[in-house]
Amino acid sequence: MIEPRMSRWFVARAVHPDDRPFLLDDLAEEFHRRMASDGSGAARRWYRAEAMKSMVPSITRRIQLGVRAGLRHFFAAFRTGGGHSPMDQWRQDVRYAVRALWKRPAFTAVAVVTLAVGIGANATIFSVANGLLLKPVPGLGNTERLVEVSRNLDGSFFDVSYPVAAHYRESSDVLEDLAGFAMMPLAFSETAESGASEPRIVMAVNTTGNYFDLLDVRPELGRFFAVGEADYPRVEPVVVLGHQLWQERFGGDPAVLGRTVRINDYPVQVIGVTPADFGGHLVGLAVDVYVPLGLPAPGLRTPETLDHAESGVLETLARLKPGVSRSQASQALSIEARQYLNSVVGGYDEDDYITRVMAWGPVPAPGRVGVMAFFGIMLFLVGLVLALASINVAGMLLSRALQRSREIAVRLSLGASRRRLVRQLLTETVVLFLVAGAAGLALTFMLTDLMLAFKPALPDWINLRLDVAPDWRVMLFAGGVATLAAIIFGLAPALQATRTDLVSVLKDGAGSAAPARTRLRSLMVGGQMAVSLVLLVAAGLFVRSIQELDGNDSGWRSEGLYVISLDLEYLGMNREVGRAFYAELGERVRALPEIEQAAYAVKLPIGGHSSFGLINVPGMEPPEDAGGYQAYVHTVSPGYFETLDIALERGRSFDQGDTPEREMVAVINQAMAGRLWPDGNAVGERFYLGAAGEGTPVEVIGIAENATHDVETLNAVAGTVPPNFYYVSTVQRYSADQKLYVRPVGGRSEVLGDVHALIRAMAPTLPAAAAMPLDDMLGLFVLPQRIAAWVVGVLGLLGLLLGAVGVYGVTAVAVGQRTHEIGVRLALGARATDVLRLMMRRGLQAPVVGMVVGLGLATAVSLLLVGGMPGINAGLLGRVSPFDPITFGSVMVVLGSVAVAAVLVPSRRASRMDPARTLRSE
Amino acid sequence: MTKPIPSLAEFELYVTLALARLEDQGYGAAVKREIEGRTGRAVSIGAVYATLGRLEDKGLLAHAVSEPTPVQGGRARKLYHLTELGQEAVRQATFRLERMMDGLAPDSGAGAGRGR
Repeated sequence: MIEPRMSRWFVARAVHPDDRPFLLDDLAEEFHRRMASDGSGAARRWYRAEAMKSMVPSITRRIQLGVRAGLRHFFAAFRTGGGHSPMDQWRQDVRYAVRALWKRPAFTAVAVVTLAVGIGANATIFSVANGLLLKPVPGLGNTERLVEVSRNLDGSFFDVSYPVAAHYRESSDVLEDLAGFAMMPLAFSETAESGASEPRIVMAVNTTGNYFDLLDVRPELGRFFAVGEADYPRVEPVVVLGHQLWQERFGGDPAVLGRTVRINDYPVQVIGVTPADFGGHLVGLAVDVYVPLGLPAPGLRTPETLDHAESGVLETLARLKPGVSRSQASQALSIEARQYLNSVVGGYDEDDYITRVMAWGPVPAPGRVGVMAFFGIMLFLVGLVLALASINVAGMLLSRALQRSREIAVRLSLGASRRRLVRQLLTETVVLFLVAGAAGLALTFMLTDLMLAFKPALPDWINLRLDVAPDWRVMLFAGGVATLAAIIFGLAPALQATRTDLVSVLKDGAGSAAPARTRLRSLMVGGQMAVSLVLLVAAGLFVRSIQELDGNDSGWRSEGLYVISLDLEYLGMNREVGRAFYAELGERVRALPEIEQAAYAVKLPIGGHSSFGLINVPGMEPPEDAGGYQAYVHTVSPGYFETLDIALERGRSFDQGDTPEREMVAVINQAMAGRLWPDGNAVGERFYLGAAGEGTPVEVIGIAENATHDVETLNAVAGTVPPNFYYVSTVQRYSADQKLYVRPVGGRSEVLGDVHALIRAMAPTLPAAAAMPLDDMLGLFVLPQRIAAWVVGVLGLLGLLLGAVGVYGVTAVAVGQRTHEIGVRLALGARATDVLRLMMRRGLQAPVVGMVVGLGLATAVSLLLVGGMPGINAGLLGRVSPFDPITFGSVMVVLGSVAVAAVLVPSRRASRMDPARTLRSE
Repeated sequence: MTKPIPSLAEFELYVTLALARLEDQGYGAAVKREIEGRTGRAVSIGAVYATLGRLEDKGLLAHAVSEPTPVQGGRARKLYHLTELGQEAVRQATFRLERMMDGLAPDSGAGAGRGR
């Protein structure tokens, strides 16, 4: 067994070469000693930790030595006037590079701007990813060994039940501590002598008392939960306020401690306030209040759900004991969970309960993969833009090197080594790219600033908390990207430039078109075409997906509709009272003179996941292996179809007479009617909920036109048959949370104030979110797609521009180089059209090959975007076909034309030349 | 003009004292073990080497590379020792420390020598 190789490599690089062998020997000695006494695992862990801890002092020391050596050389160089040490050469190269760039301001400016756009775009996307995934969540103390513990069921993450979480916490020897919590919006109001203030919906964490300890946070004011205050079943009616809420609602008054406030209309006492920089354990979403788990306020996790050993209702945060790995912990916890569950309910075999322990992160583990994949794709696409920009600049460098071939040849013939020249040219490129990197970073600061100014319309209780401002990571990234690009794209031109046939250059005064150089140029043109094509196809697909969404014929009308979300759970109203409340409110809203229509539904017409289940019809054979027909269901009130303008083809819609005591009734869509009752009127027929041979009967009372009600169907590939869909009545199937849809006459939103006043009058403590236009709410669901489409669209345009300029530039130079050959051909009697055809054929070879390669790559990227990736369910642009002919067709036409134009223009000019003049000028 | 005797930071003092104790066996890992064993404080090998190098730059230490140890696969060691300047620096630093602690009650925390 040898030492961990990676750690050894890293530490060896960090340590000063004089000390390197000794330090490595010391490490090895101790490693072998520990291996003999503690075993190889412990020894390897020790080695890694030791190597890690040694990095900082070693690197600091080397920087110190380097700076000292640099200064010494610097002053020495002043005294002696230059030397030949590597340091001197390097300094010379940089000075020479700066001077060379300075002497050609136009070239430098164009190159810097081109590259700055590419580097800036990369750094901006990285900044956002950095803000979401890498930057530490503000306000947290020690997050070392922090993990999220969940249940792994078929690869998905599931919440943990309270008893299992409590069992982990008490008896586990792999965990130091574990907090269980749930996040939810709830109603917050203050009580005064005059009664409660207007309630507001805030984001809450409903948690065990050790939440703050685990995150290592201290209160700014008062205290956090004491023992026995949030240790279900011992719970006291207390609350901790977030700093922002404290400022907004209490003006930062310290006298808030001890005051009584209401959580979902349940009185609790304020015991503390969190510090200003703390906003919960997540990045992105700020938390306003922290309430004890098990508090018997309505809408929180109830004691019944908490007592249930098998119902997963909690997310968790836990800290591993030192030296315990995540996989060890997940094995140990799986066993403990199974043993515990077998002791209380039984029936858990080996694979029936698997615990997953994931590293804690600013984005919760289940969403992290998707976020990372999204940024992976985005970084890939901006990377392509930078590649294009770099190829352009490489082309410019190459033609500049051509102009300098005489200088280079002279230097070579005077005995300069090729290595030295390559290094000098490369230094020039690196300096150029680094200057561009700095400019790109400035651009990034501007873009991220702009981004912060962008605030989408969100529900009140969502406070976005995302810091995308560039930090040292972004700077490191920009510098790294710039250097890498400089080396990748600067090396070839530098090698080319120095591979010169000295004799011919010095004799003729100009470099002849060496075959290798032509090949490099073809590679550039082809590469540019391929990369532009991939970018444009990606951009086209995103734009098309938005078009599809916008042009989507949903079957309902959203214009002029407003939505108010209500949840009687906040008041703890029971079913009967709630049903009566909704019925009365509906009546009274409809009675308002300025309201054209009003209705309820449990969900928005799209968004979120639809309820989905099996139904069956006696005598109808369901599809193979299914056991029943799959159908979506949506719960809506009387008046819903009229309010959303969904036409009824036959039958009737719901009314208040469809009471819970009577048989269930449903309105079904045309697709379901056609599928289940192909030859006749479905109205009056019955279907049954569940698989064949079981379930509640439901009578069909009406058939509605097909309408789209969920993101999946919205995203389904265009042209597919709509799925089975049925509606049931809110009167028969009560839900505490309902959305009130109102359509004011003539779209006048002033009247919405009257609706709010009505709600206030009927239930003063019920929080009613401000009415939002339905279109705005729906817009939220496609916001990520829209932003992505916009970003990728801009990248596509950049790609087109850079690609066009690059292909044109490189081709023009190539044609220009052949003027001599063309002159000879023309002088020998070739016709202009022949020359033109020849030039076109040669010139188009590289672009065509590039396009073919690009098509292959674009198809792969498109399949990835549309089809989704392993581990992520839906692709980014569901509805568009991965081979969308419109996208591919138009991209081919546009790029093809660019290529033809780029070759045609200089070729025509060449074929019309006067051969005599060309030949003479040579 | 005579150069002043360099003063020693806490960790530098530990390293020099460890070298003084180790006499002719003062190489990196030994220094690390000596400090860890006596202070109970975890010390990274990288920090030890960086400090040894720095002290050598100041002229407080000098080193000699030993012959490989006479076993199979035996290794050469970089053995450090205090120079006269180094010995003087240690003397002064400990003297100053004693003067500062002089007369303090042992239970004031300073007497324990492990004030953290």
